[in-house]
Amino acid sequence: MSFVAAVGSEAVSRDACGGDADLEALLRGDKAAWDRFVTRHAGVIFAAVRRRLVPAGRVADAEDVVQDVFVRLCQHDFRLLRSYDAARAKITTWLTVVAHSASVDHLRRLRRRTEDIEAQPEAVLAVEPVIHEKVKIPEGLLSPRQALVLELLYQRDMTPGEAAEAIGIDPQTVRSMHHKALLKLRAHFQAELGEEGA
Amino acid sequence: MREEDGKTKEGAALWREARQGWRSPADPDLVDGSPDALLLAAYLDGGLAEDEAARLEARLAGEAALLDELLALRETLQAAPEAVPGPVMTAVLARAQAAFPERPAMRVVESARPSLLDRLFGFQLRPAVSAFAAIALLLACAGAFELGRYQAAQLDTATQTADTAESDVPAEFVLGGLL
Repeated sequence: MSFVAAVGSEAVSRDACGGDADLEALLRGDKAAWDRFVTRHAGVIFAAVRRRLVPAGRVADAEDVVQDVFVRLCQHDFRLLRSYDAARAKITTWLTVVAHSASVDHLRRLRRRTEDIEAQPEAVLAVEPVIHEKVKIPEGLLSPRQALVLELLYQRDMTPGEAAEAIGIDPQTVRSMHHKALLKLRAHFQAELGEEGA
Repeated sequence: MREEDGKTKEGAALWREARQGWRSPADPDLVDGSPDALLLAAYLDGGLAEDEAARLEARLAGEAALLDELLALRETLQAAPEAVPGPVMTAVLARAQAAFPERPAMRVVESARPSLLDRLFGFQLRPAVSAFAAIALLLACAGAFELGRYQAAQLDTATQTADTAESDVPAEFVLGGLL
């Protein structure tokens, strides 16, 4: 017997996530509703945890981290679970983010535990001075989305299609934003060069 | 760099120059320095308002770690369903279901659970208990009334005896004198 962890958000409909009524019953302290919630969503949480732990070689910790996610959800009278808003995001997406965050915290804790601070060279422990770069573009020259498009295309070497998927917009919009952002930057730097030359 | 995607070396140089000065604005949605789970989930589902999305995207453009996180989440959400071995999932479910917090109110209910005898006969005895209490109250009232009546009668008798004795004294004197 095997369980299928349906992580793809497209594959999971709102009904399959459990209705709001069941979630309300759970928050009122209904143990049967909690059991149903666990059965319904354990696969999604397990898959998200595994995906984060496998590259770190800690897949054996997956069960513990999944348990940590469920404990986080119900501790302090379900405080975390109460913060979920069905109007803003699907429960599977939200649980994936929570599971991902718990996995990152777990890996951080492990790293802290295994790193012997005494063994660190002085240079590593030194707090690096924060160097404030001279602002080279005026605020508002690029919109945050234009900056993100450029970051994904040039720093992450993504195609417009991949960048579009990452942002959740149309590839044609990415191309258009890329084009407009470059026009703005070109004009800005040419003007700056002109001022310096004058 | 793949120039066939419309990217140019000039574009790369321009962004390299500009990104040094890219500053993400202060974000009121931050929880301990990172966006909360609902904000990220809403962004991934396309459920953020325009201004919220812009604030998050400003940070994504300037913070490599946050962008890494978002890309990893996208990848996870788009991944094909994964089969989890049955015994592993059974163990996970059992542990998770046991994590349910026991509430104080539920413990009170638990401790007040009726005994076997009560559960078997309690529902039959409950009306009898009320009837018994009512009869006991009635009897107590009747008893008190009777006691009151008895005491009043005793008092009357005593008074009458005293009256008779009082009226008899001169007669006794008279009779005594005569006798």
